[in-house]
Amino acid sequence: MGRAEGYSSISWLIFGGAVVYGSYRLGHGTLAHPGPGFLPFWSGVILCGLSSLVFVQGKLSQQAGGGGPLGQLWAGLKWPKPIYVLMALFSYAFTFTHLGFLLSTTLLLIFLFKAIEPEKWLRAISGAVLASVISYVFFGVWLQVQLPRGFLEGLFF
Amino acid sequence: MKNRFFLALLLTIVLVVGSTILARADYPERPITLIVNYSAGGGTDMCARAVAKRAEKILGQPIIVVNKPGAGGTIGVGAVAAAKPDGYTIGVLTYTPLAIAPHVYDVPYNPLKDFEYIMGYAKYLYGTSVRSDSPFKTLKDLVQYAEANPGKIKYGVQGLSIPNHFAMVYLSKMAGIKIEPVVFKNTMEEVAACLGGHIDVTNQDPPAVVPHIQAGKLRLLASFSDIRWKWVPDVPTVKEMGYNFYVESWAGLGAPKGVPKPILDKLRDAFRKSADSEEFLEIIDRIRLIAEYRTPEQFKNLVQVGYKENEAMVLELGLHKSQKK
Amino acid sequence: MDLLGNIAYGFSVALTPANLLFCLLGVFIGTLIGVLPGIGPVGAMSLLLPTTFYISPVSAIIMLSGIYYGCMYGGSTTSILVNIPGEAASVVTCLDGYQMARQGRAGPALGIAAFGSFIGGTISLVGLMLVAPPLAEAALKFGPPEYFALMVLGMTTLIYLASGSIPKALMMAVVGIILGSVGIDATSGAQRFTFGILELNDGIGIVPLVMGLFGISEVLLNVEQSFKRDIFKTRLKGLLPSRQDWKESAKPITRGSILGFFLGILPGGGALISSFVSYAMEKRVSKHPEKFGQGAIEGVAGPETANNSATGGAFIPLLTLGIPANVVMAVLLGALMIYGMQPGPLLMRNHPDLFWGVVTSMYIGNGMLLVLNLPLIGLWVQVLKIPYRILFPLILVFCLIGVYSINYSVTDVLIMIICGILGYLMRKFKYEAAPLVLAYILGPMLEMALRQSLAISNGSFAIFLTRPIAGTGIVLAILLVLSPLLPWMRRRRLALGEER
Repeated sequence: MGRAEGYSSISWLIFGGAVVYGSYRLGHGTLAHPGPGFLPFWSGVILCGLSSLVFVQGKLSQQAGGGGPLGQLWAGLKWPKPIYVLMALFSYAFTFTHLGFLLSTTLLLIFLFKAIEPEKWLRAISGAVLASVISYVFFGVWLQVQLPRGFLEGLFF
Repeated sequence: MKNRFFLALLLTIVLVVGSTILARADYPERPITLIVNYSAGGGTDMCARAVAKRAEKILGQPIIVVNKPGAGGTIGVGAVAAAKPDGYTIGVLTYTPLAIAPHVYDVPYNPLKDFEYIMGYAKYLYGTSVRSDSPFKTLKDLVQYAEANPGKIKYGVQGLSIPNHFAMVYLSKMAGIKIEPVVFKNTMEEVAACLGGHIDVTNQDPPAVVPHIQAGKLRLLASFSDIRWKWVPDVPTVKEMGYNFYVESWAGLGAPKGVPKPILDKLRDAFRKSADSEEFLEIIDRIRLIAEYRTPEQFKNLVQVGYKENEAMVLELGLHKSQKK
Repeated sequence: MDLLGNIAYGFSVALTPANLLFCLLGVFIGTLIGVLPGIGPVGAMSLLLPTTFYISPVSAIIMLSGIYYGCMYGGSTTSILVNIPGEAASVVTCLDGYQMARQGRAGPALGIAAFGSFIGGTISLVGLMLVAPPLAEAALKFGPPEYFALMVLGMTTLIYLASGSIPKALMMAVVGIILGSVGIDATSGAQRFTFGILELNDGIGIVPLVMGLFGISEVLLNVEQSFKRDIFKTRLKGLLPSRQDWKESAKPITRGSILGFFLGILPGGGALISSFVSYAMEKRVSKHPEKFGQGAIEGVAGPETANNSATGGAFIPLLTLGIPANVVMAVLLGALMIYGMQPGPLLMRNHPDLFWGVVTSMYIGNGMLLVLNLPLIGLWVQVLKIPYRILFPLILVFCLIGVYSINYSVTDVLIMIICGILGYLMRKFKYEAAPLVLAYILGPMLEMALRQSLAISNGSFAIFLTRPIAGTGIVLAILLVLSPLLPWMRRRRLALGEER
């Protein structure tokens, strides 16, 4: 845990520093007339202060024998899985409007059904198509949400 | 054998090309999307839906309204500019995104070049009001007080780059007074603050203040538009009072640049007829806008004039994007 | 104006078959929308707005209002079941409600949420009927300095949201403030941290933020585990709240109703803030605060009651003064205008059928919702039995579509995913999301109120102390912050005394 505190607090420290820099450029104003950078600036400063505190706390507990390496946070877990899911989600977001709702949702579901805990192909594909169509009817037709049609637009609808 | 093959190929080509040509001749052959740049349920949205309903019947295809709100109306306008110019995507074009916003920050469109205009259909009015128990009975009272007490009058606005604020700046310049803006997140909080006595003056438009004026809680001091408010006809415009300015804003419909003329003409015709419809005029009246039809040319002119006029004001207020760090 | 007569009149309007039908339709749609993550009442109401032209205005408002408070009922469902706030205001229910579900107590959680919502809604309606006009006038007295004091008070409750390390919770609060400042700063017109992305001009967006931080991160965390172990304890311990649950929930429900009602009246206040404050309050007065975050039923009962009570309160400024207290009310305002009904101080007088009809139909609606939701608990609990490997892709898809449908913006979807990553990392490294969310909401409001107050006072800070309400608020906040120190000081003194 000690190591983990170290890494995380340093990340926040860097983030805080960036915020301080950015807010400074925005304009601090005075105490009587705070500018746009006022609040973020001081928030960033406090963040840096607190991150340092947590960092020190982490170091102390590390010396006291608590905590292990960073990898312990993921011990025994299938850590590639969330990464796969994220990759799928990002791809979905980027191709959603081009491929259209039905196609991209079906593909996403097939991937998710298969890649995380393998489902048989037939069940994955049929499940994906079924779920996509039902969602389309539900969201696109009943709730009248305008779901993108993608490049199939001119062809079918 | 070969001949037959080529004959079949030729026939297919002719059929496909022919059908697409025939298809195009029949615009519209599928639903049209109308992008509204504000949230559903708001005044702009309701107007657009009303005019679309009539136009649907004339064009013979459903018009589907899609709301793309955000960034002061610029996101929706940007979506129109970026759409395919095939006549199947049109959208609402309003004042601030076209005439003011491009000076304040970078927008993904050129307000003067990226649009074909279909029509202008409504005008928004502006004015300034105080509480009915305020000591200021006329605009003159307010100005006199402000001259004697610079910096004491506080007026509310819901943003700095909007006509309401610009109007107050024009007024303060022409009257030679110093008044202070207090910025609120949105109209409702600002009106509430005025009613509660926390600020002295409110600059909201008719939909927000007329109910309170009619209930006796607020008093309109002046109209900032070029005409008097028809719901409060006794109150003069600032022009009538000797301050030579007015602000206005408008709403209209447009399409991305490049839509073929025959399609554009069809759209213009259909919407022009809808702008006359009873239902549409009724709604416009209810939400307290002024229905004013403007031809595509007139609307284009409005955009250009507005764009130019606001550049100076934005620069002066220090809000121009070139003045930012 | 005889109250009973008005109520009777109202019921005569509300109990017509047509209005009953519309009420039912409204609450039904509202519940559905509430359950679906992403789409909120505003979206649903606006979709139905055009179709309401064909029915009478009173019926239309009855239906639209039904959607609003129906949403508040439904929003807690997904919060409890899958840690996804169906409605931004249901975020707090995720904290303990989801933990209860994981312990096999989804039924009682859903049940207490439903009952609490009913009680909260009803009490707020009573308040609405009895004290609406004077209360609304009093609410107007809340100007920027008062809001500032209120926000400061709200911020002090932040500490109580944290179950773990205080410095880390404070860090998250500060991060929340920073995230809240993304966007165009209205007071100065400056673009803060938008990096030229137009969609960020309005800020990050509370819905993508919480859906990512809570919902997506939960999925990511669960996906890491082996699915052989059940994510949810399948052996359910009863479907309805037990007597013990009721005993523990009674006071939180009472407190939540009152708190929610008053916070809902204030323009800009609302369900979200009241649910957070209720949670913090319950934890503060609880005899076993360490149970919060592990499935304490008070953490569901209080906030759920509060957010439904706030919906009733939110109607007050609209119906009595014509000022909408939040965006949903603004849609109703627009609707009233379109129907030709003047929203404003004269509404009650000119259209008593509207006012009393809508208020009484809200009673009926609350009752309908209770009846609708209780049997559904059995159904929802079945959802948890779906194998997680099939459930989680569906959850993800619903989140993706839900978020997209708010603004038709892919940027929102991306924000949600990124917040999902953030939430995942935060959970791994033991940083809590709740303080971040509260600070995200309160931070910008606090800042704006501060700058407005200073603009009014020409830079003088005295304004906060010279105005009675604001002054009281600030003093209260200081006391609240100092109060944990009192027992500490007493212990020090005792210890010193012993040493001698």
